[in-house]
Amino acid sequence: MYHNALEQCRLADELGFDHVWAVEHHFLEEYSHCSAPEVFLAAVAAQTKRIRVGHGAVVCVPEMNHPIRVAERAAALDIISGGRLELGTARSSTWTELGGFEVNPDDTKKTWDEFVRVLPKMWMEDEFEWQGKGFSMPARNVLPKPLQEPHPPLWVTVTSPGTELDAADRGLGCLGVSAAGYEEQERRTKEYHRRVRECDPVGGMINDQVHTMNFLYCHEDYRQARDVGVPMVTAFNVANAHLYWTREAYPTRAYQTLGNAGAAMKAKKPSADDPSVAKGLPEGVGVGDPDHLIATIRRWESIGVTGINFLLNAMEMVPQEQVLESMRLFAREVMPQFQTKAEREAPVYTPAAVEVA
Amino acid sequence: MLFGTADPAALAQTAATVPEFAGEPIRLSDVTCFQMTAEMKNSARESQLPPGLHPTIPAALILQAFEVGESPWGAFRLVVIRVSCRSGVRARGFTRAAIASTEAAAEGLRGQLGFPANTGMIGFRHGYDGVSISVTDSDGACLLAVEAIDPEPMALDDVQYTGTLNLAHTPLGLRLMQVEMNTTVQRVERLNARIGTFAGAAFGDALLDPVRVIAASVVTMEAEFPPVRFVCRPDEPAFTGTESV
Repeated sequence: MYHNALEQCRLADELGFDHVWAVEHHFLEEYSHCSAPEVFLAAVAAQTKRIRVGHGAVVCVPEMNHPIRVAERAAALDIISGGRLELGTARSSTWTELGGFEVNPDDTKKTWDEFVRVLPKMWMEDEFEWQGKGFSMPARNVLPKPLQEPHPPLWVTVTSPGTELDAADRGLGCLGVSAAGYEEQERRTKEYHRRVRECDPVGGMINDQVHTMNFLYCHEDYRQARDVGVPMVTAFNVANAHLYWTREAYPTRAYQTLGNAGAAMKAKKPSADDPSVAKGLPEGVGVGDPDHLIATIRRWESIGVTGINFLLNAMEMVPQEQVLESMRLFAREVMPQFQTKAEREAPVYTPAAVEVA
Repeated sequence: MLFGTADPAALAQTAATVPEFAGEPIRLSDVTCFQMTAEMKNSARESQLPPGLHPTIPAALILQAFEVGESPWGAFRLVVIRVSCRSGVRARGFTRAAIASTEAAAEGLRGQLGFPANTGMIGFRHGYDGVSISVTDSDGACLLAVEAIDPEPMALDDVQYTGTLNLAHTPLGLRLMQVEMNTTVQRVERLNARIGTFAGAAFGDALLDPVRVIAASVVTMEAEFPPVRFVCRPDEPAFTGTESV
């Protein structure tokens, strides 16, 4: 599976995909076996040239990741990748994971906030010291420094409604990880863009990008796409639902929704007159023929989404060669509708540095 | 994919019989509900659920204890032992045992909502300093003893109650009844709970063993069980095995 994923990353790089992301999850038995993403991403960085390397999201609780180690590992990855690192931040939403590390769920929002404020300082300052709630440290020079100036773009994963506002207020990119429908995503995106204009950035840049999570299975024949892609999506959602959500297990202010399971339960049914739905293809999901995918991405683009992160497989349900062929077809038929060849070969967009007060 | 492995026929031996699906909600007033979640060993994970349900990771047990001031069956106390699970993608608790303090409540809960309720003696103390719950059988043997201390006020929406699935003989056959509970919450506290006794075998299986308490809460509220709208086949995933009643 790891080697399949690496092969997909190499092909994505060749085909002109912009980003590859590796999640951080622990104790997940059925999918997402990615508990050491920094190791996997080091291999990705070494085997690719242009694609941005997304380390995300790092779980920002000290029981799982000490902030100094996060800063060090991220900087090293940035150097190895030639300045292609994106760093996502998160706090985990499952008791499966938080309980495994004996994390107090009441504290995760606080430690996440502390992490996102200190990481840019560790990268930008030659001498950094900190007295905080989640951790403290005497003055030290945290090394190495990242290659990108002033530092790699920072993101936050958005599962719970309202986290997009936390992202906006801090000048962090919005990395959607729950499959929200068009209407909900439009509301979140609009609010995010309104708030990020007034933000107080935690670092040396304002990352005002909004990426959403989706699935990808592209085939010339929509029936085949549906027959392969829809079971993959369903299997992922069911396996995801097996996690024990913090809100179920532990009464707390800090977790107000049932994570991704809640989002799946609230998903709206698409309108019956949608031509894709008439073909049995799910609305908003990247499963279908190239025409369906072009229309789907245009719709996401129209509501302010600046990028879509596609899950290419789930639990190895789709044979690797079919995954690669789906990517090739997508690059051949769909990507040219949104980017020119020159754009696909140029460095991927990154936010500019801003003056730090 | 993880599925339950318990034999529905074996589970059916203690299942309630529901002669007809109720058309009216059942209202409970002056309710205090204590809920404790605890991890079980993963060796118990699949074996406690029928094949139509999926376990959670990790396996978890949910203890609920109710003290009810008013109901169609009068005042009563109730202890429910549930196993955390998923029906399709929905978060649920599968009832493994239920003990009611009165015959009237046990009969009502069995016949109208499909709880596998037996009668037993239930101790329920809710004070400013904490909560004590106990269950003893007719011989006076202690089956369950839980103490929870250090109550900490929480917001009214900080506790999550997942829907309940009761395996019962229904007019549609042996089915998992989806029992929801609507609540109007008045007060919520979180507590630190300790388990003194938990006789899993007395509740259906020695593997029902809460080895690590996660959290506990006590809530005062009004509650209502609306009429059951859906049932599921116990041996088929909810995506295909769900029926409207």
